[in-house]
Amino acid sequence: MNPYHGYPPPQFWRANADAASLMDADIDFGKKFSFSSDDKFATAGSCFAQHFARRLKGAGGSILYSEVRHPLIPVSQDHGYEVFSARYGNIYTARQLREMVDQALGVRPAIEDFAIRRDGRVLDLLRPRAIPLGFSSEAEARADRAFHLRAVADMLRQLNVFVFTLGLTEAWVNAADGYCYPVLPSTLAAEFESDGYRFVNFTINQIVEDLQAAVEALRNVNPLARVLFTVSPVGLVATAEPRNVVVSTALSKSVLRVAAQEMTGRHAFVDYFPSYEIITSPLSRARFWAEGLRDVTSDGVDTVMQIFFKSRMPGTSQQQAQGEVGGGTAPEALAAAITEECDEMFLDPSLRSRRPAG
Amino acid sequence: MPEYDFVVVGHSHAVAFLDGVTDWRKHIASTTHLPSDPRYSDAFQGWFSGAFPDESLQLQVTEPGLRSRRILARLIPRTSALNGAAEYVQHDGQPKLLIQTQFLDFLKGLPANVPIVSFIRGNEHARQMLGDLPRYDFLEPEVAGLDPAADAVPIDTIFIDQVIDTWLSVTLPTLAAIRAVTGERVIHILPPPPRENPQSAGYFEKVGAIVREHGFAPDAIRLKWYRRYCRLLSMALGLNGCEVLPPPTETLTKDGFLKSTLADGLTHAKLDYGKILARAIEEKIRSGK
Repeated sequence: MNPYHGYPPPQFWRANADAASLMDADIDFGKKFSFSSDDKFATAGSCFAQHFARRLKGAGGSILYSEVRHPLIPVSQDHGYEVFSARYGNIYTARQLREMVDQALGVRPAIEDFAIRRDGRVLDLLRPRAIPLGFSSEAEARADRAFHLRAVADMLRQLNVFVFTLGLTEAWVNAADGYCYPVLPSTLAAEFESDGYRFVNFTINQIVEDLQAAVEALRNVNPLARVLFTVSPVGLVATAEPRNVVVSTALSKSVLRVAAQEMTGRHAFVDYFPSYEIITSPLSRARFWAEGLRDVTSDGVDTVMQIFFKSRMPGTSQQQAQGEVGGGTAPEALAAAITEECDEMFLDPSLRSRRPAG
Repeated sequence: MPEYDFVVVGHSHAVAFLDGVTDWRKHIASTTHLPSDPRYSDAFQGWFSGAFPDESLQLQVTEPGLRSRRILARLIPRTSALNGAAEYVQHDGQPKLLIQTQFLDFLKGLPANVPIVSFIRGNEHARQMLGDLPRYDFLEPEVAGLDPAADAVPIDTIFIDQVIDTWLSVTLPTLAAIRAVTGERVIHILPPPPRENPQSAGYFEKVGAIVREHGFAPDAIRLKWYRRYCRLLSMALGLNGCEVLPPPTETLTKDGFLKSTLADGLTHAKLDYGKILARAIEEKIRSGK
């Protein structure tokens, strides 16, 4: 007997290749669970994750924001609100996620690593781009960090679904204490140059261990929480490994994809959504890469979210979700926005020089 | 001998001083014919309705314990053209002081060699005494600590200062204009601090509805706004050649609030405060610094 007889079409390559469109290919086939508009989503991860929250909100989904802008903070100030569910900025690695969760839930003390920029503003090096304005003093940075961690704890306790987009395996850690930075501090500003940083390329075992610790901690305070992993399709800006960045990107994404699968296999409450495959598989015919071949076009993000809504939240308005893309701005503008929010861009001096000052 | 001991220019905070030590009520039309506004005490009936005079008054000092005898006072009611009569504008990338003609004429008409005591504005901080904002706190060196409540949002002082800058943007050019045009010694009287026990105030002025709905901001917040405002204003005035006079210590509680016995409504002081302040003004003028 041929066990492949009777398998549904999505399990056959030909059926996917022959599908009229990606939307028809049922690329999310095999999912464990769907969501309703009543589910409160919290989002975190790499820059690709920002768009998930934005569009989910636009489509009528409920995004949990545990840190909201106080009326005394002008809307005109980019102070990190409503990019993610709390002001943690981009979380590229599983280690960063684990450390944030551990700090928020009191498993470990708050990590306070602040640096004074040349303009006198104090940056929180664990979320430097989340709060680009920085703080007026170290005491204020410390107070804000403590408040932020309480907000993360609230978020973890209140969310129904935690969406985490895995971004990188490569990271820089504090040489003395081992904690993880979102971006190498010395790439932010020359005055942060130091020999106190150490490069790490996390292995699959380390990543799974970190993800395991993070979801266990989450479930300890929120036993009904579900977790949805995605992998960012956005390539590395640069690799610190002595090899081609394309090769490093393939390895990183492969490792992250395996880690997500491992977690999905371990836990009934963990699932994976294939945004990575939607963008990178041959089914998309490479049409979702923006100029530069690293970022994803607006169409690509659109397609990911439309498939998400169709597969996981059929009650939501896909039309609305589509209309929300970049508020109707040009794909180039959205691609620029994606680039704009990526801490990683600081790794490439040639890109960094094109960023606005400050 | 100059004709006047000093000149008083200002807004509503001058009322306590004038009521305390001068005969100024003789010079203004009676307000008893006006319908009483229950939001304000007797001392401020007429102030907010525009019934107070928009002209200079030559006053006698009636308080026997003072050396001063004659004061030239110019109150600036809300309807006066002298309000907002000076501002900084950008000119070739530099701030330039722009003074409206009426205010310029008024300043040029002031007597020479007579110090000017300012009660210009001063209640800007009072808006922050209300409890209608989500809980927050900020660091202010003169008031220790941060609210330990988990839901108190720590606000970076850069945002606090942006709010205060909007207040200074009116008060500062006015005082800078007074100093620049007259060349006289200018002493700005810092407003009284927030009162202790605001909920016990007899008059809630224009904010009664907000008070009833939201109550007051925590004491520390009220004091922080006031202290920071006064500190930044004092620094800015110093750079413009103006002096400041803080509230007399004996008018304050040990925590730095205005004693409720000296408070008029939510945001002003009574004439007894004015009497104490008058002595401090004389002392300041006499000290020459």
